[in-house]
Amino acid sequence: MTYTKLLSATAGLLALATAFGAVPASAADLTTVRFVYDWPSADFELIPTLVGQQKGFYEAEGIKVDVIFPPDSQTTARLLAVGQAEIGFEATTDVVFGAAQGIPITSVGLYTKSNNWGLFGRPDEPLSLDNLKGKSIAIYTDSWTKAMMPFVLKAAKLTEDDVKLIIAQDSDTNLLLAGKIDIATNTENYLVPQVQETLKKDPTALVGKAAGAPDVPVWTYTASTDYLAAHGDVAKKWMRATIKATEWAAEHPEEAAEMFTKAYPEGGSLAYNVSGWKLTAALMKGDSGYMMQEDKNWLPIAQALKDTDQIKEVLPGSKYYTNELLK
Amino acid sequence: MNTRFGAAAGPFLIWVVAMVLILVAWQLLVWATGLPPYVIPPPALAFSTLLDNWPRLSVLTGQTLYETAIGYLLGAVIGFLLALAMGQIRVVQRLVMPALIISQAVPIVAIAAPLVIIFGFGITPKLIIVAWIVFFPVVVNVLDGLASVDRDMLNLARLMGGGSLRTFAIVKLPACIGPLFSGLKIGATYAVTGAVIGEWTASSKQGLGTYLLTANAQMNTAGVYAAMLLLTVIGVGSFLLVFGLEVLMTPWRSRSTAPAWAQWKPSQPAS
Repeated sequence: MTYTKLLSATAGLLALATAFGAVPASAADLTTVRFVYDWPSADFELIPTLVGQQKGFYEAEGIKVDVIFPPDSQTTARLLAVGQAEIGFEATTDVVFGAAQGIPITSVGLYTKSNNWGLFGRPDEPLSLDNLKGKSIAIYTDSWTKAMMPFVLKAAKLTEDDVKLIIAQDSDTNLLLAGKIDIATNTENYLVPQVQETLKKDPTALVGKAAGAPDVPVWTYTASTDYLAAHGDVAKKWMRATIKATEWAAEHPEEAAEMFTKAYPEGGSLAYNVSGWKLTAALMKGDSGYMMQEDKNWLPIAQALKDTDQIKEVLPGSKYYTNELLK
Repeated sequence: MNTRFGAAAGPFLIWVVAMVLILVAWQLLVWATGLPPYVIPPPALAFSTLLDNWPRLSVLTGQTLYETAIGYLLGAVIGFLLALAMGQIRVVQRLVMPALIISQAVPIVAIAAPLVIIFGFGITPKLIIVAWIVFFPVVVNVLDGLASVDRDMLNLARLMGGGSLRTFAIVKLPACIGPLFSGLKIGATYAVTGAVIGEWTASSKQGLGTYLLTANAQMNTAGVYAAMLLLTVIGVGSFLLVFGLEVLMTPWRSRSTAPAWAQWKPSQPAS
């Protein structure tokens, strides 16, 4: 075959393929939604998004979700506000801080409904609010820990001077397991699987109310108010697909975790992801159903941040969240 | 008098002009990009945040400055002594140099966490991190200085009966003072970064590094920039301090004649 004939044949085949729709026209028609995660690397909390991508829930709604990992855990809101992403995932305290700083973002749906943050000790070492005095407790510099610690100390009838607070930037689990601290502060879904995997035992734990902390949600999905005003219809499609993906992942935890482990092998072992995801999924639906949020979810968080002098005032609930995408 | 004042004020004025230019560029960037203050605060907002929070920030600055200064001195002394040992004993140089290069190739953040696990949450890991950053440029520069000593000077010293210790003290040591200050100036600007990395890893005491994280967690971008301004002041101030020391200790590098106070004048013979 001559060169000209080869070109003609190729062009003909392409024209035929386009005419019959063999070229994936749908890929071009999909609206891209950039989803910015709360952490610089993937972990099992990304499972609903991954399931939405891989099981075709997003595609069925006509959208394509691109996951973006932020440079640090506090950049998500600002990326949304300047239009570098459309939907975000972050700690609920970020939304309250964002509102206080005038960052135009809002929570569009709660990821989890209750507080699984708490204090954790090494397996078999007794842990109670009565024996905290003099203990070394690792705390993060994040707003969540800063908001929760006063509740713990108040419930234990202690002040910061009664304990040794160690500021940790990276995982405090390693410090706990190395015996460098007495108590780690973390969320149950992250710390427990890690300790289980390392020691084959459960850590001792005081979680949520048992640690004196209010029962408020920890993570939420967010979007900029500007984006919602301009592309609320796309955001609603994302929401519908994400809820379906979450339901599926909650009903098939092993399968979902396996899917995640294959897609993000650096995100931990299958056992870790199964365990972590099961603990997470149990917190997601609550009494009011997936994503739905109320003032009682938000105002206690804002009040806690005000009580710890991290914000000046508690704003109305509508400044923190909207259920518009669920309608 | 006026001329001497002018000579001293010249470099200072240049620094002031450079700082003003940086602030102008910062403000222009804010205007040109139109980015909101929670992304890039204008300089005025960063300065006002710094002033508003000064009581707290001054304490934190003291802590970071302390970590920076002690770690810097530690790194400089270790680096200088190590370089002298390596310069004098070839086997030591051949043995140690690969390890030194490897030590700098390892990202400091990667060793920060193990240091905390080994040494705890006090000042020790922070000092090690700062010293780790500082000592390498000192070693490399002093070694270069020792290697570039004029062979003729060495031969002359030997011909004049100088022993190895005396030759070292009179010829080699002065020859490496210039390169030593080059290393010290590089280390001075990096030292504060080491202190911040040390604070970020784990700490029982707060400094500017931990404040920076907390402000970032609260989306208080102006607070982040206020802390960055103070860290910059520490870095630049450290550099200028070492630079001043260099001018004092190596007067032959900046002038061809000895200052008046150092000039030896023979007493006039009695007539």
